[in-house]
Amino acid sequence: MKLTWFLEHPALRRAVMLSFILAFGAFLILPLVTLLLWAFADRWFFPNLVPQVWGFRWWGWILENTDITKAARWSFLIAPTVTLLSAVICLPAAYAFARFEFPFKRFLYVALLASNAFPKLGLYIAIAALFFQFRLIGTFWGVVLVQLINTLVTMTWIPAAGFSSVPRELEEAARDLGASPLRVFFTVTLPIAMPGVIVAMILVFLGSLDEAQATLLIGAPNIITMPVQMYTLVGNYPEPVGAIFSILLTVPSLILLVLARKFLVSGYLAAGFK
Amino acid sequence: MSQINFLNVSKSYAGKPAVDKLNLEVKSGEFVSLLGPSGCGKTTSLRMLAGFLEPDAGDIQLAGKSVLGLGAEVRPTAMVFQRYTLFPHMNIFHNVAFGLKLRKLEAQKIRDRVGKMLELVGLPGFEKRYPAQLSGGQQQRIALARALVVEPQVLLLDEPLSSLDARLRVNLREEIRAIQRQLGITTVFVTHDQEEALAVSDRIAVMNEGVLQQYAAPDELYARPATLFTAQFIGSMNLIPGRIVGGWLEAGAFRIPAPNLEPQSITLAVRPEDLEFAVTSSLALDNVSATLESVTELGHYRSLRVKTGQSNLTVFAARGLMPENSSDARLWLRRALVYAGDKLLIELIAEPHHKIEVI
Repeated sequence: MKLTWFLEHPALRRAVMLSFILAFGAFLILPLVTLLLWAFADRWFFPNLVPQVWGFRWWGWILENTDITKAARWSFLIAPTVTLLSAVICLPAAYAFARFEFPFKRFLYVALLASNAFPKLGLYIAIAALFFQFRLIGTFWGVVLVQLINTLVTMTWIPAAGFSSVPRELEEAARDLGASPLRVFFTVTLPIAMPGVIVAMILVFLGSLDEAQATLLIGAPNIITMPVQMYTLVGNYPEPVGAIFSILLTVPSLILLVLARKFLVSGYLAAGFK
Repeated sequence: MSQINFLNVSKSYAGKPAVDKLNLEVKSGEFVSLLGPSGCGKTTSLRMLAGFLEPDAGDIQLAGKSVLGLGAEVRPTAMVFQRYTLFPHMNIFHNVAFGLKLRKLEAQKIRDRVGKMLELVGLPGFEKRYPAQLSGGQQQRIALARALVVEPQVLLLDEPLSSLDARLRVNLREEIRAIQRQLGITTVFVTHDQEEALAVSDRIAVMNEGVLQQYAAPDELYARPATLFTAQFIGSMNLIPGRIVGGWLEAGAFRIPAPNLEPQSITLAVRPEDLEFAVTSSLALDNVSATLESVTELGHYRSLRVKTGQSNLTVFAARGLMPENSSDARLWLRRALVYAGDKLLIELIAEPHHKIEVI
């Protein structure tokens, strides 16, 4: 008897599938449910399954806390800066990797991963020592710079794949019709590779919003972003505070994903290349 | 006046010559095909003309002026590509208007010219559609419109029909030819399909391994291929190895008087339609005995496999005649070409009902 005998019976197969879907759904949803419950719980003790007292007490406290609003401001200043700078630096590199042949190309391509190959904390401490010399500790640009390192792989690899999927014939056709190389890039190559670029930018933006280790080491004490603030909040205040803060951190991600849905699911580009 | 001139143009990839000392001139308004198997250098030549490749040696001139060093964007050429021709993120209007916008025309003028061009290629009113909504043939028409709308001096076609199905290919090539005639635009057409080249070209340049084999009008190319390669590449051809010895040309079963030719080994090349197969009891010097091996129906004619001596020959026969096999079957040679080495030596034509003579 085959090991997959149960897949041959339609009813059993459906049951197996359903239980997989339920398990996966629970895995995704349950933590969020807990988060939501905690965010609106003024009192919740074991062994109750739901909070005893509901309320908004901690919401008011958080929204009025100046430390937290300051942290939000830093976060939303740093994340776009990192994203744009990273795009400016990495997109030309991505294009070069996709289109040109040069010595050590493969080596350099893989070398982008180097910062991920070492324990992050060790790397950050070494960087912090270096930044101290250049007076970058506790500065906005110091944080931006250290966060940029983490974005290199994402911002180069994903757009590079996007660029190399653009048929050369299309770029040549545009050249042939009189477009300069720069114009070809902006009117043909970039628009067609855009879904990949957008995805990379979203990942980098969210990565920056979420970054705590490096920001804590380089930015403290002046630059405290939301995730760094989270450490303090989770350590020093009751659970609802952490839960509410997590929800607030999730909002930008959700908004971004909804806005970018068009790019993420659109099939209009693929259809042209059959 | 000659519009395009290739002067001793060479290009090699990694030491391997792709185009070798190409000399080719195209007259104004002419439709010229570059024909050859893949890797023969035809596309490389076209891309050098368009400005996507620079030759290693030689010169390329347009209207008497060298275009070397000029990028594709400034050359007065426009190309239609084999695949991935249209910009997928732009609608048809923006695709066709692409070159006009670069030339900074007013919006109204652009709309007029795009509209007119879409009419010319038979797709009026398609402005709002996207490439993905069009069939392959329609996409190539739009690509043609996009190239023509900028009024180039030279139109370049890089196998634009090869991804289409057979019937559409025939229709579209006729249409392209009609539009080309109407506009009088000098056109260079790259194809590996000899039938396509024969059908539409004023002249055909046959290339093989980077070397131009022959540059001639389609009928001349078919009637008198200058090299053995062209003889094999264009149409079907029976090749019979033989030699000239003692005033006679001997090839397979054929023995033809050749009093004026030097003794040497040759190849006798015979078109299937220049052979005549019949059952007759009259023996004559002008034919050889043959046996019928097989018959293939090809619609408007039949292709016969005929064995004579050591060689198997292809003979085309009219549909009405159904040859039967018989020991009395004979094969007549009406016309043949003699190649010494790779080069055409002489053409043989039989007088009606007479022995074939060396002329």
